[in-house]
Amino acid sequence: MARLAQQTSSRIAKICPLCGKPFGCAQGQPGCWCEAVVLRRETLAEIRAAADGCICPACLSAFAAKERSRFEGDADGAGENTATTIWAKALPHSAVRSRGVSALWAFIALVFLAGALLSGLATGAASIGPTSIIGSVISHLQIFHVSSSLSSVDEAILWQVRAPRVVLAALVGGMLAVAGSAYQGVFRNPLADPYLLGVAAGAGLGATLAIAYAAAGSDIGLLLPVAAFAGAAVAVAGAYVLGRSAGGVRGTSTLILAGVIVALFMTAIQTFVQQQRSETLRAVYSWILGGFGTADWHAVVVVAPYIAVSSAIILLHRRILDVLSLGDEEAASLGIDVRRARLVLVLLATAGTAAAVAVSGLIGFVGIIIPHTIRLLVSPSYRAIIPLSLLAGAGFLILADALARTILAPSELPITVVTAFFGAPFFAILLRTSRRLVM
Amino acid sequence: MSTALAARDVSVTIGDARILSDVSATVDRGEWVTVIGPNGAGKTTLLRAFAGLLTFAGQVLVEGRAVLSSRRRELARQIALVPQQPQTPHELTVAEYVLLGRTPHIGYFATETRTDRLAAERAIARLSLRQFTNRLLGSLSGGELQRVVLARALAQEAPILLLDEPTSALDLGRQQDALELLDELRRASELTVLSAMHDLSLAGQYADRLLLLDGGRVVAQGKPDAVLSEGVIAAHYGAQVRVIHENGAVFVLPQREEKR
Repeated sequence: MARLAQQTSSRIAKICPLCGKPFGCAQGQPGCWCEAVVLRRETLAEIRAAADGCICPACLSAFAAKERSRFEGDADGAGENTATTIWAKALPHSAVRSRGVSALWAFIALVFLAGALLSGLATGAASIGPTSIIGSVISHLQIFHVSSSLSSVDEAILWQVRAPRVVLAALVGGMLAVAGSAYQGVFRNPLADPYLLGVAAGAGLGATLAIAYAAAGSDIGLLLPVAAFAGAAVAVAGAYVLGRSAGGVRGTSTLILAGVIVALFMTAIQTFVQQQRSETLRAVYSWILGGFGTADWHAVVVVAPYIAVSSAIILLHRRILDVLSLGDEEAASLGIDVRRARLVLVLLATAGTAAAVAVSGLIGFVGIIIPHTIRLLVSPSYRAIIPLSLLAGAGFLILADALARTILAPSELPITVVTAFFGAPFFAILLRTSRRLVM
Repeated sequence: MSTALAARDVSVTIGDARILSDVSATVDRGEWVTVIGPNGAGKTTLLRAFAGLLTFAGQVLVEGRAVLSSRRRELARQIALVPQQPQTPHELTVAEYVLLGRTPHIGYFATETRTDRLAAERAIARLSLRQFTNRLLGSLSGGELQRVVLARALAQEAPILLLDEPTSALDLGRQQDALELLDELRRASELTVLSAMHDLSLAGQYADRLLLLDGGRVVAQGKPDAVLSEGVIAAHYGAQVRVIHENGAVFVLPQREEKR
């Protein structure tokens, strides 16, 4: 009790949910007046059923009096209960909760994303400063009647060239990071990334076929994303069917192996096609390295629905992913249909990844390193990993794209070079300094 | 007394191996039945069949409803399973882990409500784990972890508890503590308990009835003092033991064969 007495606590004014009178409450922290009222567990349960929050001294005393009259003469057992009743009378203990995303980390991630957006929009040959960007954004909102300080040329550069590129990078980065987290959770494998089940090989094959055999005069810019998406979908469907028929129902390793087999097979076809049409090598290679050089609002509109739906539903699965971390058997005994949950998550992550790959090429590193960074810095719970990966992945890829445009300006670096070149040392430092386990 | 769990002619075949053959057994509501038997007798498989975690021939009824046609979520509200080697992710806190036990009561896309947090808090308090609420699972001892897993099962608020070797990782004192606690909990909350255990003396002292499996078949069942006899144990365990009856309890002691 001495420990409790030492700690002073700040009280806040509350309204009693039972009688409507105001009272001071320390929210069940040590030193709150309610500690002095000792109740049986049954009475506590009764109060907690009746009230949605802490109740005032008068109402609490009424419960205590009712309890005394009910249990009069029944002395035994009362002593045993006293030890456990030093807590807020109507609220669950504040410690009994899942950590999730703290307000601080949510704020940090949002600031990171906002900063990345601004620097992405400000990067380029024409110098457009952050203040004029913000001014232009506000003028476009049409609420404050502020006119943009930018010239019409700068306006066009900002809104028709840079903005779609930055938005597309954000969508792709967020999607890859979320899909990577989902794969790692579903397969309980820290090495899982969005390309695990053959998305990369399938999209690569689709893109190669489109580049190599597209009819002369057809619009390759329109055909390429469709072919890449179709290739990715075929690859993952093939891997899933093969994995299931070979016993993937019982374990995830079979499924991963099936993905590897399908990927190798498709890569073989892709290499064969490239050998036959060696003039396409350069175009295919530059597509595989990925980038946002051709980004426009059309591409944003095409992929945004896939990415929005896919990442939103994965986000809703964040608690389910935590349950899956207990293993298939225990998740099943907790009432989860593990096979269905896994199928849904894999389908969603794959559809989103395929859409992202179709417009950006094969961007490596984001899907594996962003989730692990969150895991090491914030929490291993998917309730933190999924939402924060979405924000951090988006911001990270915007910055990587800005660097890719700047370093060798006016020519562009492939974005995978940038993500890995700057991401790998950062992650190496994090891995060395963090005391947490990777998974 | 009504039946909580019933198996009728349950057979389980995995690959070419027949793990259970025509097992029939019942557990009454509020009863504690312990499955005993030598290694590979099918104890764990029987528990998993009751939890609906594998496919089998025959019929398993939980509170009168067939397990295989029940929805997972409904089943999880009826039965909580404590596996022999539960996965306890090191970086989860005790509170987070116990809250996962509320899954069958939480909507698929929802997160836990006040009710769930109160239920988890009750389970934590019942197992005297309040001082560990915020500790990471990786920092707990084996005995503490065992209690945390039990708290997760209690938070599930299912009337039936399946325990696979609940005390295998514990020392003698912790074993008794855990079993006493279980006995207390099941009386207070009117739980039905089906457990699998290796230690025959402890099994006999805590269970209302024993079910002896050997080679996937039920070879004996009944009150502990009826099932635990020197002849039965020699036949099915291949062990030389002395069985001592004292004050209504049964003690099974291994005894070395005298060599000449």
